[in-house]
Amino acid sequence: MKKTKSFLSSFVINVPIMLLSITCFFPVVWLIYSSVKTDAEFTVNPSAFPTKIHLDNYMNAFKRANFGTFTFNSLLNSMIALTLVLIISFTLGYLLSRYRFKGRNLIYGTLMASMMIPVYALIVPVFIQEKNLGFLNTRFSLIPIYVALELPTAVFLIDGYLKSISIDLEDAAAIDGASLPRIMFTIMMPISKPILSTIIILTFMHVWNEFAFAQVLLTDEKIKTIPIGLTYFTSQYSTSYTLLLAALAMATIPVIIIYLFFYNKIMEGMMAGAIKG
Amino acid sequence: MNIREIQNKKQYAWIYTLVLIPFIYFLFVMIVPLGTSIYYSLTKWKGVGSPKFIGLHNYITLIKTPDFWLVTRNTLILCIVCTIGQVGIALLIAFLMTFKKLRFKTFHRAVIFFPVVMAAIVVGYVWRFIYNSNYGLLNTFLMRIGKADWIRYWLDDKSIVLGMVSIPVIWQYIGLYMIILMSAISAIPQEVFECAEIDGCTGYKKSIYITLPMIWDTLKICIILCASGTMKIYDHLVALTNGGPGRATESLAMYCYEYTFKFGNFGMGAAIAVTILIFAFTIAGIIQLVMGGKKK
Repeated sequence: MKKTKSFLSSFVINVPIMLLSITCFFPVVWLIYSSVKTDAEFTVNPSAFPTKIHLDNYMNAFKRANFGTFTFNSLLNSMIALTLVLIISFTLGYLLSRYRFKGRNLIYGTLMASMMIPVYALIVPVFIQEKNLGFLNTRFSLIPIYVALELPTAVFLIDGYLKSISIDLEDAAAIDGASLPRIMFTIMMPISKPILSTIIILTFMHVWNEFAFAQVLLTDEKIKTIPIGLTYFTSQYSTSYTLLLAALAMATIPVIIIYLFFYNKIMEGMMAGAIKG
Repeated sequence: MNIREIQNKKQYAWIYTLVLIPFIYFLFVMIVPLGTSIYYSLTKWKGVGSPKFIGLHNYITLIKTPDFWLVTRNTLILCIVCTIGQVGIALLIAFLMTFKKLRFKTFHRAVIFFPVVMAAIVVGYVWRFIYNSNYGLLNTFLMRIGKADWIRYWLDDKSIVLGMVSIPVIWQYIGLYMIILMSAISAIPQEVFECAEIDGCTGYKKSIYITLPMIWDTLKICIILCASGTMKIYDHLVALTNGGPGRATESLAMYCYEYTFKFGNFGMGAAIAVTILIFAFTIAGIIQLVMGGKKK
């Protein structure tokens, strides 16, 4: 009797979570295997595995919709934004965490409160600001805003991480005559690697996936990014379902690769005392 | 606390330079536009010429427009449903993760977090395929298990579409709040649980009476983040339904985009954006009030 009860309770606990887990990766698996089917095969049975691998959809996506250009633009945006976010957020995060000076709380508070601002309150004025500066529709139009959007979270994470690290090493280096920038960038930055890799992943994902600003600030085909490219496949090329699937798969595969590589780092960083209320 | 003292004037100079340069840049890109937005919302402006100050006129027009209330209703419903769904399910899973009976914990953690890193727009399109009435996975599945009479036009039926679009949103972000709550749970000292077990507190009781009060503050942050995040929902809806059928799934953010970039009415667009901000702050305030400031 006790055994059946314990079996039942473990059934009740395990099965729903297992079902949820399956729904979390099945759509992605389905997306990838469906993207190598032909349209005819897809219409007959959308859930069946492909009988033969067709890469035509990928070729078409590259040729007909400039997917190569979009990928390049997204990569370029992500890399530049990433570098800037790392340098700026580390500088700010380190100084705000380690030193108390006049205005420190005001600056920290402003950064934290701005996490609440919906990007939609910013899009119109940023659009106009960039238009007035003649900065609209250039290759780098999106980068300043992406960097600013990522800063509060990054500073918050770095501040939380540094709180748990003792200042002994910095004091020792200071006695040896190391200057402040030197201590920051050659000693403390390498120590902060776990939290910096979390920031790398979060920033990469956000910039790679960002849609709203990219849609508004860029109209030139040559500089558009992947999320915008995806919308083309439902309007201009709406006849082919598998072509859209291939495009979606192409937008997702880099993210999957990064996730698989850095998964442990994400968890470590998130668990490292980042968000503890 | 790990705080260092500032030793000399030179160091002061360094610190202020290194802090103020990025901060002024931040003000310029984030806070100044916010101020400009508030100003534009008080003007009549179509993007050309100079804005004409008209006070609260835009807001009054907005309040008198029935469509505004429709999209506000949609957004608020989505906000409530998604917050309860995301944080609720995440909390439940985070609790279950502390149970010894649950198997494959690492696997679950990795897989449930995965959708978080996908682009919202990709999630939207993938779920559009799931809901598709002819080729959709959902209808194919219902056909397979012999429940053909359950088949619906999931995204074309006005009475169910709002519920249908909230499922992908909930599905995508469960993992994020799960991880945040799990990290809060892992920070609770082990002795607390041991004492509770000695006193005979086990299973779900342990979750409700020990874990929940200990992670209350984190839970509050999750709910605030989630609610204010859902207030500005946009990408998912563009990919799933583009607001249709009619305006049945249009959100405030989409309404704002429409006014600004389709009708070119910048003043009105800014007023809607400011309204979103006011809603987000109000909701955050209400949650703060209901869930208490600092709970011991």
